[in-house]
Order: sequence, then structure tokens, then C-alpha cells
Amino acid sequence: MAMDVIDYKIYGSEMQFVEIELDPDEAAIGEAGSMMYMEDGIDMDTIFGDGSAQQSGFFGKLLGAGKRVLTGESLFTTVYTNKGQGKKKVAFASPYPGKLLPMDLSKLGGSLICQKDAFLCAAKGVSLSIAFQKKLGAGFFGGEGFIMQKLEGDGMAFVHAGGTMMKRDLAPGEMLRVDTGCLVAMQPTVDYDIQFVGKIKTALFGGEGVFFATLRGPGTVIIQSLPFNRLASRIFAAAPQGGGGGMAAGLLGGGGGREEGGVLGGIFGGDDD
Amino acid sequence: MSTLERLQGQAFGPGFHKSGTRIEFEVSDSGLYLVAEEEFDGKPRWSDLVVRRGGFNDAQVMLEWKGRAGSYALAVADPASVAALKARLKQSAPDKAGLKGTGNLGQGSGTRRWSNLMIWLTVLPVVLPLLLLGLVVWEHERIASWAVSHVPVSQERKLGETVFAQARAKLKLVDGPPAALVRELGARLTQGSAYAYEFHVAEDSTVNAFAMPGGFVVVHTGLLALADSAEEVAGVLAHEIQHVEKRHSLKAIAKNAGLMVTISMVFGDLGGLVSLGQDLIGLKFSRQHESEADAEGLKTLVAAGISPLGMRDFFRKMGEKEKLNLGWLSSHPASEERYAAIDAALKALPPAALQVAPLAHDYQKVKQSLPAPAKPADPAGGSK
Repeated sequence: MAMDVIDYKIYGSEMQFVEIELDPDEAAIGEAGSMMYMEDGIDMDTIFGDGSAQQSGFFGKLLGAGKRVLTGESLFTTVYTNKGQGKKKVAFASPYPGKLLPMDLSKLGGSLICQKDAFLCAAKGVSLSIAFQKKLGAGFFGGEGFIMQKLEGDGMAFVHAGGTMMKRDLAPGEMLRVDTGCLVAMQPTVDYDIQFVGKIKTALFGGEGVFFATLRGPGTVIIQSLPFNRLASRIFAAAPQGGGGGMAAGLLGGGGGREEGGVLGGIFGGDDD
Repeated sequence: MSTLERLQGQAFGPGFHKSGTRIEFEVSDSGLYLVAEEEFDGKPRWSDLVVRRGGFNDAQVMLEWKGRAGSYALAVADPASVAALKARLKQSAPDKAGLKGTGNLGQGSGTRRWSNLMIWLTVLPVVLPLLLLGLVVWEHERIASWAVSHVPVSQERKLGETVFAQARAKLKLVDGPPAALVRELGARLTQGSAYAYEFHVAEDSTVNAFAMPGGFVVVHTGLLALADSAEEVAGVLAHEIQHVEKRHSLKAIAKNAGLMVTISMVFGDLGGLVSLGQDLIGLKFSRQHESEADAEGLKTLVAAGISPLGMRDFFRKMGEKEKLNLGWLSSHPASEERYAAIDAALKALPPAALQVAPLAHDYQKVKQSLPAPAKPADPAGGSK
């Protein structure tokens, strides 16, 4: 199904919002809670699916919604339709310091793999689904966990990244080693894997962990300089009461204290807990 | 022009879009042919091509080669194109047809080893405690038996004495024909036992009987009132005697303690939920003990030459009395279930076991000498 063709403008430098201009009967979908303002004539409607034609029938929608919850989005998406006369605007704001990235899915081959919870808004018709990481090593230690988001469509989508973003087009065979957790989005043609840091001394004392994430072209990748959970844990660690909860009493559950960005936290933890 | 089918792919490299250009291509016996508007080195031969699985989750097929201007890659994701490509590869370039994943390219063996090690280190602390819990629940009988085998009979007797002394204070023990009957039947059923039994009758209108470690057995008058023959009472006694012989109390202590320790070790302190789980599993153990006592009790009746039909009939009566039994919430299986189990076991016995002489006691006379039912007391015994 073709996505609506929308015009947009991004405002701001470090804490941005995108203003989307809709023609009559065009619509945009946004993550729950992301809307900043909208003009008179825009109709707001919350739907169970993501508005794409790929989800049909009640169970199809239910399954899709359930999968989306796993990717960090909510069960519902809100559709903003221009029911008025003439062009109307609706704006969506980035939820943490960083950059908003306009991604034209048609130029990227129709699909994009993103970090969990990276999606902000898009033209109606985009399909949001799970990209499940099948490589155990990459899932455990790559920094993105086992669950990533997949955006499919042929129109504009907006994802948000923390810190400053870098877009790199990898040539065929070109490899980039990336700090775990810094990947925002990539084309599905990119090989995403892990690589051992190389020396044990470096692994233990280097501060980068035991593995790198490796990205191997061809394809476009987007990297962020400051993943939000890293910023948050720094702030939390500097808080007056001293960071971190107590030791977990049991091995699986018990009291608080989940490791930030650690192995288990990366898989089970959400982006914004 | 050849009639080779055109497949869909995404081309990367010098002259193509940085994020890939959608392109059609053909697969022939000599190599690839990319259908592009501009002339470029789009005809790599098989000897130049590397074909592998790649992309996210190795879901795409990548064909890579080095051309004059640089490195090129063709990514095939569309399922129809992938299938057609695989088929053509088998025909045209069989040595390339075995599509391998990227495992060997980006990752060295060092990475794979470290990765496997780390995965094990992560998964094991999660899996091992669960396995331990599973083991404790699965093999509870064997573990408890081993633990209990280290407790000598004399120690068990001392424990029973203490417990009985405490219980005795709350019980109103009666003597006379009912007690004599119970003692006689008990003696007949416990010949050759390691334990020195003591049989008592307590005045209590509830239908119950219980055994304590070391050989103390108490029968309520309410139970004697429900029975109609000495065989039925013998059935109940046989059951209680098995609780003592099989050391069920001790085992229950071992099992419940073991369970409690394991569950709190695995799950931490989750409060009510954990103790609920413990209780439910503990009750399951208890029900298994009860079933064991039923089955073994039946065997002792047969061995002592007493008709086991009495035991069965008694449970049928209990089943009729019982209105509601939530099996999984109670420490005993439902009486109906026990009746059915005993009935089935009886059918498996040789007929000679059932054709024994009836017991010589005049049960009706014994029944009449039971004290008149007082107001129902609490199950532990009479009121203080």
C-alpha cells in the first residue's frame, strides 16, 4: 500500500520537533504521546494497528500490536488526518535530547531496521513490525538486544537518535566497528554482528566491554553519539542519593538493581524504564 | 536477447546510489548480468563472484565482486527472486550454490569462542537454578528417602513421643471395647514391624484418624461410628500404619524444607506468591503420600488375611459424605478418587485374597458402646 506523501520541516537543534504538513485527506501516524501541536482541521484518532494494509482482520491486528509492544511502542498508534480544507500542520516532538532523522523509505529500498523505540512518526501506510535478532551473540552482546524495529513502506518516516547522529554509507565489504548501543538504524543489507575486542587486557580495562558491534556494508547506517540510556545512567549515578538499587535477593527476581546497559538489561530492559 | 528471467535486487557500488539502487538482473551460465541504464562493469563472471547469505539475520543473498571502479554488491531480498536465484545457481554455478552465512567473514574464531563462553556464562546462572528446582520436585521421593534414612528409629520414636504428648493433652482418650478392637486389629496388622505401636481411640465426632512418627495411632470415635464392620476399621488402620512404616511425617518435613530452601534460592523473596507455590507443591507431595499409604495398606490387609473390601467400602462412604473437594488444594486426594484407586487395585488381586473369613468381632456391639456424640470439637481433639 502506498504511503501518503507528506511535507515536513524539522525545527530545533538538539531537542527537535518535526512539523508535518498534510494535504486534505492525508494522514500521519505518531507514537503515543509524541504529538506536540496540531492545527484546526486535523482529526486525531487512536487505532489498534499501525494503519498499514498489511494488518488485516482482528487477529492480524492483535498479533501485530502485541509484537509492537515488544519493540517498545505502545499497543495503539494515533492517526492524525487532515479533515479540513487546505494544508494543515501537525507536529511531533522528540522525547529526549538528540536528533530527528527523516528517512525516505523509498530511497532506502523500502525497509529499515531500527533500534527499539526509535520510531517517532511517519506518513500513514508505514508498517511497523519486529525484527527479531537471530544471532545469539549479536543479540546478547551487540547492544541492541534481540528485538529491533522494522519499518517498511515507501514514504517518509522519522526516527529519533540520542546525542549527535552520524550517517555513513558503507561500501560493499566496508566494515565499521561501533560501540555497543550506538546503532540507531540500518538498511537490512548491512551485516550486523559482534567481534571480540582482541586482547584480554583491553577487554577488561578498556571500558568498551568485551565485544564491539561490527557493521559491514553495503548499506547506510545511522549511529548516535549518546544513547539515551547512557545519558540517563550517568545522571542517575550522579544523583545525591547514590545510584543503583540493592542487590537482587534471588537469581532471577527479587529486589531491584538491574544492570544498566549490561547483558541482561540490554535484552530484557526497555529503552525508557 | 536471452529469455532468462529478470530478478529483483538492490545494487551497491560505484555509480549506484549510496543506499542502493533497485535493479533487475539475470543469471546465466557465465555469470550475472545487471540491467542498468548506463554501461558499467555489470557482467561479473562466476569466478569473480562471491555468493553468500548476508544482511540482517542473514536474510538476504549477497553477490559481491570487484569491478574496475571498485567493489560492487548485489543484495537480493525479495523471496521470489531468492528462490529463483537459488535454482539458477544450482544449474549454472553449483559450487556457489551452497549459501553460507556471514559467520566466517566478520567474526574470527576468537570472537566465536568468546561469544560462546559469554553466552554460557549468562545463560547458566539462569538455567541451573531452574534445573535444580525441577530436580527437587521430580526426585523428591528419592532425595527425601535418602535424607530420612539417616534418622534412626529411636530418634523418630522420641520425636513421636513429644508430638503425642502434646496432642494427648488435647485429646479425650476412651477405653473399652472400641479401644480393645482397635488394639487387636492393630497388633494383627503390625506383626514384625520395627516400630512399637500404640493404638488409641479419642472421643471426637469428626471422621478422622492420624498417625505420628514412631508408631502412635489415634482413631476418632466419629470414624468408628461411620464404619459398619471390623474390616472397615482395619482398612483405616492399615492406612495409618503405612504412614508410620513409610516414615511419611519425616519425609514430609524433609520435602517441605528442601522445597522451601530451593524455591527461595531460585526466585528470591517474592512473598505470598512463593509460599503459595510451596504450599501447592507441598500438598501434591502430601497427596502422593496418601495414595502410597492406601496402596501399601491394601497389601498389608491381604497379607494379614483380612478382607480388603472393607477398606474400599469405607472410602465409598467417605466419598458420599464429602460434598466438595478441590483436589489440588487439599492434602488428601478426593475420597472418590481413592475409592476408584482401591477398587482398581482390588480387581488386580487374586480372588483368593478376597475370599477370607470375616473377622470374628461383633462390630455392631462395639459400635453401640461408643460414647454418645458430643458437640463437634475442632479436628485436633476435644475442647479444653
